[in-house]
Amino acid sequence: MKKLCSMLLVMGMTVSLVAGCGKTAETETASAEAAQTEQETAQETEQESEQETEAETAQETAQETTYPVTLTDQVGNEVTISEQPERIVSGYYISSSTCLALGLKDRLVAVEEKVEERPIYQYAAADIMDSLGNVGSAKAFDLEACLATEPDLVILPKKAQDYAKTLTEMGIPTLVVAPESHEKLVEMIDLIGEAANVNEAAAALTAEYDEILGKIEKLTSGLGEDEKPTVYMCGTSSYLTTAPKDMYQASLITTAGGKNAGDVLEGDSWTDVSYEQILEMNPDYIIIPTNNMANGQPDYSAEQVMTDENLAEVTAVKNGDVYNMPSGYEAWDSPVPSGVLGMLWMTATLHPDLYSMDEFADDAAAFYKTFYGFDMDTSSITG
Amino acid sequence: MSKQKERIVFSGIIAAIFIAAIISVCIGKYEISLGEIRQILQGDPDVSEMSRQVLFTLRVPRTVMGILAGAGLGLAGCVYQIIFKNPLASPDIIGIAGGANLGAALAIVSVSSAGMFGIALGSFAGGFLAVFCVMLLVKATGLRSTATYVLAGIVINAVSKAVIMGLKYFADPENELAAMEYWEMGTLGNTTASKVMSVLPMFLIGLAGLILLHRQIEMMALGDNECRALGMRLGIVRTVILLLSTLLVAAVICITGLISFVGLIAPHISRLILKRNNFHTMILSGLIGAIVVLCADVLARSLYSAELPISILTTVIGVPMLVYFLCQRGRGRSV
Repeated sequence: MKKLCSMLLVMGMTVSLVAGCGKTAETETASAEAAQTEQETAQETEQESEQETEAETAQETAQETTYPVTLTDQVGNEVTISEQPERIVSGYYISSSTCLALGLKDRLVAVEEKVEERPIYQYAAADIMDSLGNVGSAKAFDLEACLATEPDLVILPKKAQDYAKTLTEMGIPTLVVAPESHEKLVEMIDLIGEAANVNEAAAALTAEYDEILGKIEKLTSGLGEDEKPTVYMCGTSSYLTTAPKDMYQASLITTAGGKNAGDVLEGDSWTDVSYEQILEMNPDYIIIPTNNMANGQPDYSAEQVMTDENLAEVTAVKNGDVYNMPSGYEAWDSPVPSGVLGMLWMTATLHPDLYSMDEFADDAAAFYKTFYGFDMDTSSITG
Repeated sequence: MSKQKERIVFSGIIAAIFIAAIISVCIGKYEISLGEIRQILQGDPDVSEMSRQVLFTLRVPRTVMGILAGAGLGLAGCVYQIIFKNPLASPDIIGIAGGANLGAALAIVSVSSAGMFGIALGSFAGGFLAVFCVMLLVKATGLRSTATYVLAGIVINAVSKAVIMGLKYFADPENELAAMEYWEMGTLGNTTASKVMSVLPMFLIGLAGLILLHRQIEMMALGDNECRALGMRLGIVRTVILLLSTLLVAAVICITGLISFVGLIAPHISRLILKRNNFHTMILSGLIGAIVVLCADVLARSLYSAELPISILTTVIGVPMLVYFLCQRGRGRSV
């Protein structure tokens, strides 16, 4: 009986999930259309360079936040912030990286644990590393350490919702964020931008996304169905797990002009597959993401995949098309603020004739220079 | 053990709990000095509002919860051991923890915003169902040996684990799965005053019931036939006692998550100290549980820059204590 109930629940949840996704897709199309019209009007009226127009649009839409402001966070909580936050705690690497990209570095007082293992901090926040507090992980969040930094805004992931409730009870405005997809990431960036009164920076960052996505769209729009290779995205724990249809990583592949081999699987998180299934998928490319910290590769290497006898007959292995995503910056395969670079890298990998790896390296370096203020060593990408 | 010695043991351990509680209130990442605490208690308006909030919303409730958790698990563990006449009958071994875990997991998955109460109810129902199944299995086999209880516990644990695995597979990784894993890990880190207050009635009902029924529990230690000879309605009394002790365990673990080992070792240490199995053993077992959990929690938040799962430390503290008392007993016999 219990099993039956849980099965029914699971089914119900799947249906609601699919319904939810459908809605997002609709809004996505709507916003994409709106963006297109906006761009067209801009092109018609002004002869200035594309970038300048975008910067202007960003500035136009960006308004000053007037405090007190009441915002709805990504789990539907209403959060009231009485004045401009000057001491921000971010307990999640994605929101922390967003704060860095939005120029909130000097207002960050504490972030999640293991910052020394995440390369982005070394590059973009080396000077504040020693003074940054450690509030633990999402699972074992350290409430007291957080309070000790006297924050006036706390940003936590959905996993730590329970702690957010406690902080709110104690009178500290706490935003819960859930950047599970590109749209949700954009929503989170706008939310943080408004909360911290850096709307302009948030608008500039999301405008950059639109530009990059537009560029990929333009590059890959002419591809016929038979020109789109099948791509198998390995999981971070083992290459016998892959990204199913509704996972963020799947959208990465389709955006970059490929077909996700895992589309035959339902679900939205890493799913186990057998050798037999991989042989059946017969991907043209096998992609290995960085590990979660992005400070290296997962516990297995491309060589291991290439020399695995069970995979010898797979087209990707036969042609030597097994690639590691570049490590040493951020996990570009996930919805981090630099996640669009993952889409660009994928485009360069799948369609080097349309967009070369050198061009990608330049674009990536420009992205980090603009939003994180450091010069990226691109030799690891082009080399 | 003479009455006087017993009194010394009890006052000693109560003093130890008191000292540990003071240390627990003073230690934390948010610095509150002893002087500040005194000022807060005296109602001095000069102290920062945040310090006052940290003290009353987090620090004191956490300390209280540590004491309640240890006492509840220790006491319930002792009751289980007496009722099942089995030294291995701790919540984790005979399947209660597994059942409670499953109940909580089901509550997390099935009720999208399962509050404290939902999880508590789930873990209580799951725990009780597990005890019931264990008893049923033992009855079905007709063998009342230690091995039967342990095997029945293994069966129930295995079934619970399998179902939990299924639930985890289908759970939303960002939300439900995290909640389940967090719950299995056990921590006092997210204890707040409101949470303690919400389970306190449940805890007190369980505690008061067990104290009121202590004579019946003691009688059960003698054996079923003796109980019947003394005119006890064994079936009902046993069920009520099991309900009460499971209620006690559920009230604790719905806030703290699973805390391993305390329910097993506290009664043993208590019995090794008192060298008998009566009401005093139950109470001492609860007190020992309290001091173990309290010390474990203080260490959990001060050993490392981030908080450690409390079960690691209850095991690290509990095992040497148990080994020490076992050796003492061994030596006592050989002399």
